Amino acid sequence: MSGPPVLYHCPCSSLHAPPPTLPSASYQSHPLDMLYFCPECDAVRCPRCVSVEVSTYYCPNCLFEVPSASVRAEKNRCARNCFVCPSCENTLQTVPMDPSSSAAAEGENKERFILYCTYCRWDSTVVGMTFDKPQGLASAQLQRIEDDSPSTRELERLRDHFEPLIRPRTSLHPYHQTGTNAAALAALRRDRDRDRDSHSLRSSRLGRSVGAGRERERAEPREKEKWEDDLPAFRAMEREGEVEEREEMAWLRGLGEVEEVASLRQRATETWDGSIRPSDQRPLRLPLQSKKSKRCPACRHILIRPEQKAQSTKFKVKIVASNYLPALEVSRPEDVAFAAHARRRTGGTAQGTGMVEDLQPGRTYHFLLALTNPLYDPINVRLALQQPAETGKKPTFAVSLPTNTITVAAFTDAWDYDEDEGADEDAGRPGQGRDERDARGRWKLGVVERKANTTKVGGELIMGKDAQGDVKFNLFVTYTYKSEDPQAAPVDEKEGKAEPELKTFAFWTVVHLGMVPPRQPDSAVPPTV
Amino acid sequence: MSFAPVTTYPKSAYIETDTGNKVSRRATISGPQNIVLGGKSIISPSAVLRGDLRKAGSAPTVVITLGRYCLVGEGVVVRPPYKTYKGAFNFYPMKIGDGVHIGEGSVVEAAQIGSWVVIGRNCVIGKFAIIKDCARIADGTVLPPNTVVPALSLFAGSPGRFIEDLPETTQEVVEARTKAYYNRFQPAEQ
Repeated sequence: MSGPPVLYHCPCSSLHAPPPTLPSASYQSHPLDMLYFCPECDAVRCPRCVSVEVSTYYCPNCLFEVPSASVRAEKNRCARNCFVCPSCENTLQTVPMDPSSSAAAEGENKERFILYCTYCRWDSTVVGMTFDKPQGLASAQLQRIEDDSPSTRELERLRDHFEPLIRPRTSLHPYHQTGTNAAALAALRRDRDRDRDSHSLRSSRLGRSVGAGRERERAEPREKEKWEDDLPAFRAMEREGEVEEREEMAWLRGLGEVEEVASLRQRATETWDGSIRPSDQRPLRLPLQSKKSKRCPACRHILIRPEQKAQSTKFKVKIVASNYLPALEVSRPEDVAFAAHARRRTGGTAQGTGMVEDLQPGRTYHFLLALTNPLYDPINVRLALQQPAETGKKPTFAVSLPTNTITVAAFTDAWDYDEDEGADEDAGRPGQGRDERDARGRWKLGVVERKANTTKVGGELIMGKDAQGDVKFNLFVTYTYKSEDPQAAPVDEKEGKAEPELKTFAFWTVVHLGMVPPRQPDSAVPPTV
Repeated sequence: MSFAPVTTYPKSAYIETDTGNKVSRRATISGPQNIVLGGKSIISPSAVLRGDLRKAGSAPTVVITLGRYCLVGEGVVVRPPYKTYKGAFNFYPMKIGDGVHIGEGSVVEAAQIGSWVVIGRNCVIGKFAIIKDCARIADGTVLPPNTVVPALSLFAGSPGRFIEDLPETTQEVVEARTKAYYNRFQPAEQ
């Protein structure tokens, strides 16, 4: 294996790849496996630019698929038996309170259950929580407490307060509002209305002011936009009492260790009241996760559509770049020898992965670039180096690559079969069965090996005297392939048969060849401080 | 993967089965009659497979099931999980799917590991953990007992937590990598 993979540039941020030495460049190129390909736009799409929609919600612990209607009602958390440990964020287990009595107490109905963390040994007796049943803790026993908590009530009030503002806004800006969002908002509205009917107590207390607001809204002409200024000032239900604060201060003064205060992370994820005392931290229901569909940001063509089943790794639609673009890999033959040497030295424990010898300034290196064709037709590839930017700075290294057209054979399932059977006895063995060097023993710039749908070409790297840091360069790859679309192919009238149209696609890559280690100071004297 | 060199081993160091499994002679295989290897799997030196830790009773049971193209790294301990249920102490079988690589020095007591899972080096996979397909466990992760790792997710840290979703291509990538690893692992001519 060589070092870091060849990265592919996504045109979402800039059409041309920036010089790879810029810090921003690393955010614009991605490994090929992470990229998508939009067949409508004929363009590469990256995880940063695709538009994402949630297709299924599920609990990451019990793996139960949650219908989207109840996701909102359950506040995006698992409504079954999954809880997060307030102290270490592990998932909690429901265990009998007294493990020794588990056999004896059965059938007596006296047994109590607690939540227990198998990692940090936190248990729910710390916050005084015990349960009668081991099942349905979240829906039956915890949600009641949650719904009555001051923070939940405050949030409900906030939601009601801003509702009149949200409603006209959403209709005004259809562009920013995707269909799903609108649907979610509608669900929220429905949800609230239902809540109001079912919880008469809450509606009588909270619903009154909002009810009045709705009356007013109806009275006004609907076209009138409601801006922030029209909203009455929101007044919180309760304010942090000064008494509480003083108590907290007194408690803090009595502390001996900093660990006794709940960490910021604990307090921030805590939905109850964010108390600074660890003994107040209560278990939380586990947040749900989702499977996502992905679309092209430009034409909305679907790129990824997962199967409905939560734990299936199959996709109904999966259009990824690795099925369209040739895969590039880079390696320096010296590395292979180096890794083998290191492996011998360490007695076979080293895997040889990621072991790359550092580059030295002023030397000449050779490298190989492997092009693998994923298409069922042969492709012709041309490589072009990016001209250095006009910064006036002399480049510290020079790269030469073959500029002629390189043919890469088509991918067939037969190659796969060969690999399966381990038929390639000399696969990748360095310096065997390959014409890396020409007759005079010189390094060959050009195709050095063709095997199956992979073609390897040789390149040369000349390091300058003052080279430093990462050695990486932008490579522009252009390839032509036969179009599969029969409609697009021009029909030759005289011959009466369709000529396959040749299509060209081009993309930028960043090739990383290695690193020049930071120069050692010449003098052995350590710098005085 | 086109540059990865062939990994060779002395032919006498491994036993190759009819189905292409390669088991190091220096690995500790306890209770081999209770262990099923799917074929083309590699058991590295000083790995420990505890097939002897079986459910009480005389009926023959399969304790450890390993799929195809798996790699049990050096010094890995694969030990079926146990618990006391209704007053009876018992071991429970462990199932591991296809193309699972377990890194050096990890201890695995999971109940179930799906296919195309990559477990890093020096991990501790707690008792009765369930790891779904195409998941990845980073080096040095400690998964507490009963942890569930959903499909296509990366877990890391101690205790192991969800870090990120893995790309949709994970299955193809891991599949190709595990198959290539097996094909590159060849005996040296002597």
